[in-house]
Amino acid sequence: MTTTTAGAYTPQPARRPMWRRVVGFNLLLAVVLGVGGYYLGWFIGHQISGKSFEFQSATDENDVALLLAYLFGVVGFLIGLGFANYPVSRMLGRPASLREKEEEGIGRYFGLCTDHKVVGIQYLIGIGVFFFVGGVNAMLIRTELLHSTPQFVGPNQYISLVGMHGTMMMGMMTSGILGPFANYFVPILIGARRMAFPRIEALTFWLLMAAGFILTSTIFFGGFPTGWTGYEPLNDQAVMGMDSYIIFFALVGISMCLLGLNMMATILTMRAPGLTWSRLPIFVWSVLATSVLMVLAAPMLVATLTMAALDRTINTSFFLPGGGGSSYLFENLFWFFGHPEVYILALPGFGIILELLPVFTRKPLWGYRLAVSGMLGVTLLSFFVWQHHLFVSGINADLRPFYMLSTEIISIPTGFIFLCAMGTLWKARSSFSVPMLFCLAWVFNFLIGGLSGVFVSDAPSDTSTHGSFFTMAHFHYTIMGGLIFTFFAAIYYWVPKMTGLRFNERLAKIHFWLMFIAFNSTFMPLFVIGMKGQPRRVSEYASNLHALNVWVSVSAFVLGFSMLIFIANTVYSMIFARIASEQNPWRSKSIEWQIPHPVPVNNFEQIPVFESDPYDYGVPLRVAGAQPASAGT
Amino acid sequence: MASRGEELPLGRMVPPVPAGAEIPPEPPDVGARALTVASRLLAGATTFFFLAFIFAYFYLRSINEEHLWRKGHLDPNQALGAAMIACIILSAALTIFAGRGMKAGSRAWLTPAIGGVVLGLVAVALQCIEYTKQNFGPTDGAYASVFCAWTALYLIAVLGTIYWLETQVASEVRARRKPASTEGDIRQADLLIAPGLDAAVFYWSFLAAIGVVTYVVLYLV
Repeated sequence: MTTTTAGAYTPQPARRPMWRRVVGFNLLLAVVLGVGGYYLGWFIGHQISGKSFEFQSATDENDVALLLAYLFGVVGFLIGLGFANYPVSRMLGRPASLREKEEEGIGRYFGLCTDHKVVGIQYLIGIGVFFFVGGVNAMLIRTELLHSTPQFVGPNQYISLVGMHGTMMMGMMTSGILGPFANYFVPILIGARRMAFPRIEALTFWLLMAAGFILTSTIFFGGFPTGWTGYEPLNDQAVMGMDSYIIFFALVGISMCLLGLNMMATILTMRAPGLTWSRLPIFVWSVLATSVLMVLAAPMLVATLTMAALDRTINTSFFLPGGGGSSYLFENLFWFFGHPEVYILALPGFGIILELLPVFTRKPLWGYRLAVSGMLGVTLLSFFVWQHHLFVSGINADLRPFYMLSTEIISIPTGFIFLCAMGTLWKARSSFSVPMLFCLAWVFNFLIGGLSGVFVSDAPSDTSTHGSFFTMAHFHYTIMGGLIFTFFAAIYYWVPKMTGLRFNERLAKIHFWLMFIAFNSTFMPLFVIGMKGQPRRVSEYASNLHALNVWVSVSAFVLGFSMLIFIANTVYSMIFARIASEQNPWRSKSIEWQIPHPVPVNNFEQIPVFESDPYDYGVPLRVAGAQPASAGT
Repeated sequence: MASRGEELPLGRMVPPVPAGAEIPPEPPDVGARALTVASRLLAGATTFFFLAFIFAYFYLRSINEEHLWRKGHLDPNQALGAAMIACIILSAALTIFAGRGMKAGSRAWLTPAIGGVVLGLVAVALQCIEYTKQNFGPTDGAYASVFCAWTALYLIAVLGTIYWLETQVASEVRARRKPASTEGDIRQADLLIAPGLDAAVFYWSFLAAIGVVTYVVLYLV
């Protein structure tokens, strides 16, 4: 891979006095304005809907007030962070600039910062916090299922827990890899100094944080009974907690769309000289494919949730049969987003796997073009399969064969990617470092997820498995087994570059083995439980399934414990031990490992020139002198 | 084996940028290309957003649940609707003219651009007036729901785009008002404004096309 001559450019920042750092546009002001905006929206909502000013009463059923409170709260939060300053300045005709609030120390991580590296770290920590919340919900769910009748929480609280867990995980995972790793590494991997739109990059992160907070607040408004899909007419009949779901997913949709747009604009226009399409790192290809889905599918979600919000507030009739609407319309619109969403989650994971395997097998990536065509194939086909979610929801029977076929066809490009992973592993002399272990776990998990997918894509068998724990197990094998394992692979692989510190290897390996075994021990029996007829989202089940459920719950607790080991390792390695990482611990040929640590301001002093692809392992390293900045592609 | 990296305090993991330092200049076409691509992608996202409403329109119309799709008296104001869409088309045409003028190096582009912004705002005002005049509200069945939501969200998109165009106009006005502005300064300012104007004009033209579709579906079909 090409190297760069970026030197140790370590300018001394100008420090502002403490009072200037406390007073100004920052997280503190954002919280103040967010809370102020919330109460203002609540007040206006009550005035609009003709009720009295009762902002102390959280149980008052007023969807208008709550939706306006959330919207005003988010706007206030963003204004407090300083997101309104630049648009106002542009409205007054002041010149455009790319850089904002990159000067200060640790305060940069708690506010608007346009440095893509800072945003990447913000994402990693922010998303991690909400993953933890979602994980705690999962533990509570499994605690309830230790008994075949409701014991720990009631049925209503149970379904709310299921909804919060699913929604939080689905929402946050959309940016699980693109947020931290694509934001941090895509500009470096393509030889750019920044993202195309740095403020939009920062905005996507803070929108997601506001969304996560709003979803968590649903517990104060009675939760929501729909699970992560938000189906009508239950959506319309639900208490105010449903509004939290609507605003959460709408904000996630906007964040996703902007993130995808920014990524695509960056990759399409800012590649360094010599970085042709056939030399683009495979991870960047996966980000590009994911971004296409984000830009096109997420707006559909935002539109659908807008309709749902209008039905709940001003009594429009999109989804209400009593007014000429149809709840089936919601299901169609939701899954038109929802199925591409599954690939929004899976594709970055594919990219991570194929990016990491050559490093640890010391072999070139097998079937680079096949892998790219697989990713693009998945991207295209994912828009043509959504009705397989509606096989048992009243779909016209004549349409079933088409959607069954299209769903099964999508396994072909997915198979390309799997094949490329296998080809790269074939006869390799692999090193079994922690990131590699997670990659190998992906191979196992995703195989099970893929094979079980055949049963749920097939209309006859889906009729008996739909809505059961079988589908739930399939989904977790695909997404948790596919995405979360790759997420951890990426953490162990790239965090040493991001922080300059290395993880404790022994704790990391304990984390891996415990997680891998507990994951399979949790979700494998769920196939059986599902086949025996236990429905998901219901806290009560037949007593003959008790032993299996106890097994699954105990395994889930061990899985949760493995996450605590990861957290302990992170705290220990990053805060207490602080052992400096080697400059290139994996001996990778990829460009991010060739530049110094810490990654210099602007990434490169001079734009690098690419002369080969990043996977030429076994080929002597070709070193090219960096050239002055010149035209992009 | 490579050497060990440097252990840094948490706040310095990413080196701070010196106050006032700008990102080193890139090739001048990079920013322009990014804006061009972004405007096309935004158009794609907008298409899918309104596609949800088009789907809802035809879906609900086709099932006509309990004959509640469109009650007899629901008629949007044709005259106001036509006037609104005419304003939008004219506004888009003026901004296209302004964009071409700027590319040709003419200083006269500012007038049609301001005209475009004003006409866009007139379109918004006309739509608001229509809401007060029409004989139905969002609760009067499925058609009324689709009509009100679709037009209201279109209105928001129009306002956002008008804001975008206004930033370009304001930049030019500020450059021309500078006391020491020479012809060269203004040309330099134009070079910076051109990509933004080009992208905004493209998106505004695209949104006008969406407006035409909106008008045809909601008023004429």
